[in-house]
Amino acid sequence: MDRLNPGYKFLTLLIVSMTLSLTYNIRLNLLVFFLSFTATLCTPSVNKKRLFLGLIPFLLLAAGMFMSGLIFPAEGGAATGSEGFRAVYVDSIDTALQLSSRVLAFGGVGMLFALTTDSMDFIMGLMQQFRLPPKFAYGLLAAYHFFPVVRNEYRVVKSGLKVRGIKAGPLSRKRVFPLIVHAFEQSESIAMAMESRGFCNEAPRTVAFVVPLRRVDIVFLAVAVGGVIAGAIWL
Amino acid sequence: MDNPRNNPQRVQAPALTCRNLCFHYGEDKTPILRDLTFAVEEKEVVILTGRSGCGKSTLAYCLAGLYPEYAGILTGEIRAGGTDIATLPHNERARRVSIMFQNPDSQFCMGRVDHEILFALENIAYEGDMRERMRRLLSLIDLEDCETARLHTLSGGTKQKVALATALATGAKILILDEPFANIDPDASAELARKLRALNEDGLTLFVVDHRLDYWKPFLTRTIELSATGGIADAKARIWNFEGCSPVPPPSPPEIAVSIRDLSVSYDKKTVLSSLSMDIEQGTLTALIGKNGSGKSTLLMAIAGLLRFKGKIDSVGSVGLVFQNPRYQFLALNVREDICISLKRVRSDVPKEAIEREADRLLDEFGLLPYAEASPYALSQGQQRRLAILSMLAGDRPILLLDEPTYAQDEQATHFIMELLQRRIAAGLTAVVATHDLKLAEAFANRIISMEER
Repeated sequence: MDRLNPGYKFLTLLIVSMTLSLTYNIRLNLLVFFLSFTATLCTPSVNKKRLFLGLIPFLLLAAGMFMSGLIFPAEGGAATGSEGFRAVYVDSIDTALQLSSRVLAFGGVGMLFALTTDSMDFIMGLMQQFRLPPKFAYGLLAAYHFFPVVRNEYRVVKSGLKVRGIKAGPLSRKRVFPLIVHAFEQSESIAMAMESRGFCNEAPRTVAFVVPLRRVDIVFLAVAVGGVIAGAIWL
Repeated sequence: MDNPRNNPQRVQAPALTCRNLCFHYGEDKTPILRDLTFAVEEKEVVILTGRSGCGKSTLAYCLAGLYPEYAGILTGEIRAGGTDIATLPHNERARRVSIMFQNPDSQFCMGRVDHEILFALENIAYEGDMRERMRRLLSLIDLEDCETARLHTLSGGTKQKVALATALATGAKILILDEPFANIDPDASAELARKLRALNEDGLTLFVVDHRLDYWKPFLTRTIELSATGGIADAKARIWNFEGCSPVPPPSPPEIAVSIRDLSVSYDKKTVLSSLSMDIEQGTLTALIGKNGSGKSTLLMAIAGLLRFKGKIDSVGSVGLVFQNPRYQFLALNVREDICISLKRVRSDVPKEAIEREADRLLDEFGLLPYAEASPYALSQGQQRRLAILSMLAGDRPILLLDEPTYAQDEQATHFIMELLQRRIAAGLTAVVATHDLKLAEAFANRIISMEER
């Protein structure tokens, strides 16, 4: 999975997700989740701990959707039992399963992409196969690589407030304002650095980071999209 | 001004020429640079000095072709090897002139060392084997082992070396450097200076903005000075000194202000400080010196109670800390208000007018009263540091910790800060200063503690 072209992998998984969002098929949702999860688990470079931790929010959301779909149903349908004093309808069980299984499928597909894709390869792939302008591609990479600096600055600002004896919440103006001021200055500085290293959006450039498009990427696209459409029809 | 080193009969254009250069940040702003005309010959090492805020970095950015594109209005002409740089596209310009910035953290686009250099090679459409060229550049600066290292994990000195390799990747023959040693320790600075000297001997022209000439003196060609009025003139290459400065005599009998016992601090499973015990006497200045990563800032953070540690730290009163970059600790949108916040914390029963009067008195003492209504972020670096010190002292802190208080300061600003501190120390303040500047420590400290990297 981590050797697939990241741009085409993204396109494939996007089409799969959009197809799922247009269908109401619990079995298909669960099958997509199972296949995505298995494919992610079987990719050697994937950090298994991150996979399981990353799935927790989706599992919680799926459980939440299931319960809310069950307890707050649309009007009508045949009652099958009671939940406390509340009637539970056949239709609402079905809707609840639809919603929660779809969340699981989206979660599985999302984790598959996130954990098997290198951010740098993804951006380079978008530039090479999908004509993303270099200005955006390298701008995104610069912003992405600036995160560790911002994280460190956030800690410094927190310490700065503490040492002045000021209490401020995580999103307080006192804490965020110095970060914003600095981020503006740094972004200009990075833009200047990129330009001084010869970066020019229009000029021709050689490619050091080749992200190849191979036959297997097209096969993956065809099989995954064809499989989901077939599943939506026959499952 | 023209002073070619090895070329008495010039046959080609100077490496860099500046003719009638004027620059201002806006139509209604005072010009920062006024009618500058000078030339830098090939292989010269020209050092530009001048007061903080006089426009040295502005001139460096103009010479690198970044201004006026990013800010301001420029008239006059800048030529690199005879070609007007304003007419060149970015990639062509980068093949002639490159720049290294002061802050190692804000000049990288990619996440890894090799990617950063390859990015520069891609930009100039390098036709050869890019990876082979990248490895040659890394070996030039002795960083072969860091090829795949993540940039944010490297020390400031190593980052500056990577920035140097990236700047050279474009093949530029003129390198502009904006205080390249400001963020790195003396050993790393000396090593970087050695590399730059070797590159200069191989033909690289250097135009350097720096307050301090210590590392440049052995190989600089000449020094020029930018005046506060925007003019330029030859200057004498003078090494800073602190002649006539001496530590404030400690009070007698000595009393302990801070007592540290068995202090141990670990980050990410790495021990930074281990079983450290020491006493800091009241009314003295203690200097902490040592390499980047030796634990100077960590010790200050521990004393200020900003991180978890094992052991015991007792102090006689509340502790203030001024960061290396004080911009992170301002709380208000104007200078007076920032001081008032500190004063109100300790004098909650005093009326607002009295607080403001006291704030103005303190601002006057620190030379900041003319900027009382200004934003703290609009002050110069020296003024920001003074404001940060004042905002701590206004909060009645008998103990003040300062991390690199003279970082990126000119000689006059350094003396101003140290004199202010000495006045307060004479009145009983206990100061602990982490610094790379051994001369400063020797001139002002009652005690110097050398921290060793573990």
